[in-house]
Amino acid sequence: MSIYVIIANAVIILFVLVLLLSLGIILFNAISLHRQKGFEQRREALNKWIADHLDGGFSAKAVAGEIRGDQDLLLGVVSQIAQSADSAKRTRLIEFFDDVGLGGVPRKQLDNLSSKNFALRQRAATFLPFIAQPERIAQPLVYALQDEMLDVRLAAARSLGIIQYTNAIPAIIENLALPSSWPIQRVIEVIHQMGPGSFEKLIAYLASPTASDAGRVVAIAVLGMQKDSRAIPTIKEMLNKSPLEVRIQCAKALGAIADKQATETLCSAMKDDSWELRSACANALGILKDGSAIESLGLSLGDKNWWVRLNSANALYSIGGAGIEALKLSLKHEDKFARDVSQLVLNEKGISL
Amino acid sequence: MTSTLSHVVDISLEVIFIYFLAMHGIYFFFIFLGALGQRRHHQGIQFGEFKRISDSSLTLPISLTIPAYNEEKLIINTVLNVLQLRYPQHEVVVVNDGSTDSTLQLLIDRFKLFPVKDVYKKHFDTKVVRGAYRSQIYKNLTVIDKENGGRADANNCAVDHSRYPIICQIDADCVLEQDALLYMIRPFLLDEKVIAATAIVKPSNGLIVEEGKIIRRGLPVKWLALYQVIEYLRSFQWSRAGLVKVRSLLCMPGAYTFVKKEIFIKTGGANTKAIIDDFELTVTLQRYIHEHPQEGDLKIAFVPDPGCYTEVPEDLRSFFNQRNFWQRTILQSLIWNRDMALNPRYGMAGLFGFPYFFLFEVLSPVIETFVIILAPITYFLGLATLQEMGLLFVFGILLGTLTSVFALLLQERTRLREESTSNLIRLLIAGFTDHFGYHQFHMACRLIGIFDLLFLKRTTHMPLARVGYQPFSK
Repeated sequence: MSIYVIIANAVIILFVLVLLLSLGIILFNAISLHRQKGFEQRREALNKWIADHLDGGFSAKAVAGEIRGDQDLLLGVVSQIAQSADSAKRTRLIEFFDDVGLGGVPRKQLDNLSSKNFALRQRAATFLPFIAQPERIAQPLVYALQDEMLDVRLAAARSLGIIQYTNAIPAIIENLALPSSWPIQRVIEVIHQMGPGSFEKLIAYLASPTASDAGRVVAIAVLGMQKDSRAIPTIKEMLNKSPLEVRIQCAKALGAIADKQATETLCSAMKDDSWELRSACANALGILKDGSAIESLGLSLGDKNWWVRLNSANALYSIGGAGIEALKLSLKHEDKFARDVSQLVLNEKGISL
Repeated sequence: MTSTLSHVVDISLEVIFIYFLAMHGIYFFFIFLGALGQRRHHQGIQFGEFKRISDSSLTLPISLTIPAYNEEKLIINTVLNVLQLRYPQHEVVVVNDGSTDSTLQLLIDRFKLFPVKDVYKKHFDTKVVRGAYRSQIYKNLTVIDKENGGRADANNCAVDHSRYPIICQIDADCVLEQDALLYMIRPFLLDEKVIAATAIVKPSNGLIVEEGKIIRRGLPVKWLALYQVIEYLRSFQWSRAGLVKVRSLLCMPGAYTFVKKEIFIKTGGANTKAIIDDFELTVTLQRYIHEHPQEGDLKIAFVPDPGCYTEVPEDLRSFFNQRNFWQRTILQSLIWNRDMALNPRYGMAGLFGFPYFFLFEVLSPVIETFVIILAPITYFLGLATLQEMGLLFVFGILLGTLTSVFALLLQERTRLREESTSNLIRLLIAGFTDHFGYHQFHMACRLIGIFDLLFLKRTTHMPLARVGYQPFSK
């Protein structure tokens, strides 16, 4: 067969294909837009029924009749409402499933946690805290922390965070503080969400000999975010005898707690060999706003590292009064770098010289 | 003699035929890969994820940098747009690159700028900075006024004045979606090895933007811009997504590039000798990735969500200028970095990315011109009849059209579908007709671009004339 005959056949096939695809796209678009409109209307209505039901204005039976066919949509809507609801309303939302005779929905999602389908497992791990009692889902979610898929683990950890199940903290850290494959910020966020109840567990974790460095970084970061002064002795101790990444996190946490008990320790650490640690300490001292750090910070204006100089100058400004005077004095510093950085910060803050 | 010529022409025809089949085959493959990637991306977004990113104090802050040269028509809207983005912590650094129009004055008046004496850590040797300004209204806005040095120089200067770890480079004609930064920071939060990211860039012609806010989305009125919508969809949206999947992306759009500041500095910043710095920056990043294996599996990410809209030319002269310097930019960078081509040290970027860009991005206008020259020779040598040549022509057009239709089909399968069926029909018509004039003109622009660089050594580019946004009327 000649090449042109093949091409001629190909042209016919392509032509028909282009034509059919084009018609298909138009049809698909029209149908999709129509369905989307309907979906949005149903979602809006569902939202309203649930809100009315929670306010006592709509009977459970009536709602049940309306939503029976829309269980997927229901999950999304309930979770959306629950996300911004207070705990009393959240409890009522969980009860809502029994009220409307849909107790099977949470059961099905619990079963899905062990499904072979990754998307189903992830979905279940995500939505469970909004539709089932915490005591019913805590243990299955802890098991889900060992899922082969990191996304499922994270969803489970977040859900445990939502129900504030602090017993899961060691397991969350162990299964998710994996710096080589997962940014640990996400774990920090999850545990922070558990609130002050996690304090004891975190301190216990830090004392554990089996704790990993990444895990310690997570625990210290959360303690810092909780701003609980009771954590200061533990963190101060770790600032002096840990690997560098943990020490840097200690400095950041001491700054975040913003308690002047930490000033002396941070000032001592300003003499450390690591510029990253010195820079973090300068930042922390700026947050503490303790006048006793002025001398230490003033000396660091001439540090060999730019970030240490900048953070020290910013910290002096944050201290106010005497700190700003120290910055102004540094404009006559014999070191050009100290003069430059002082001028930079004073200019930025709009302080006339 | 004639039989030798016939033989040569015959072989040429076969090679060209295989070339076009391979080119379209790869396009289809990329579109498929891109669509697959988009599906996975959307499935991977967890419930409430962007709200969490938005609320978290641990989200990485971003410095948005905007080089501006004679941008008085658009600059205020652009700056207002980026200042209003939903993001926990970001700053905007605008660099007035020696504009000769009222760009700087407009910025001073609208944002109540006041001069500051800025001392900063200088990483790059840029043109002289004439002054720095801060805004009385927006604390996170900095404007730098400097002597003209081109886009790359302005970008370097902006990075010098930035303070956050992630740099987002956009053009002065860009409009971002309100959640664009939340979408773009996600790959950096998910994977510490991501050093740069880009996303879908769409033409902004047809958008209605007021006080920096997108009021209405629509398609451009003019056909030249509409053809570019199809082209952006086919080439920039799906192809780039596919290229990222095979780790061969050599061109992140300069209009929307996110890069880690420390890597940007380590690689020497934007190349001021490049005609336009975006292609060269991406190639440099690929070079860095492969020359530093000890830093782990560094990568460039693609976010298949539309985050940025940029103005496309609406007149032939501007279109010619743009495509001409794009072509010169690609060729220049491929020549500069030719040691990476087919070099296993550079992984897929060297083994696939370089040959792909050279064969199908640089050479395609040359091959198409060759086909036009070859057609009458083939006819006169009796190797093909007019009907047969017509058949080949129709085959080529249908292949191209199928690519466009396929790209549209995949878009419709995602949540990015056209919001009105009549707009979709207009796009389909553009897809059917772009091979009758638009495509040929586009090829001519690129061919002249190659000639300009290789023979006239032209390495400058004319800034594009801006149109501005449609006025808003209810």
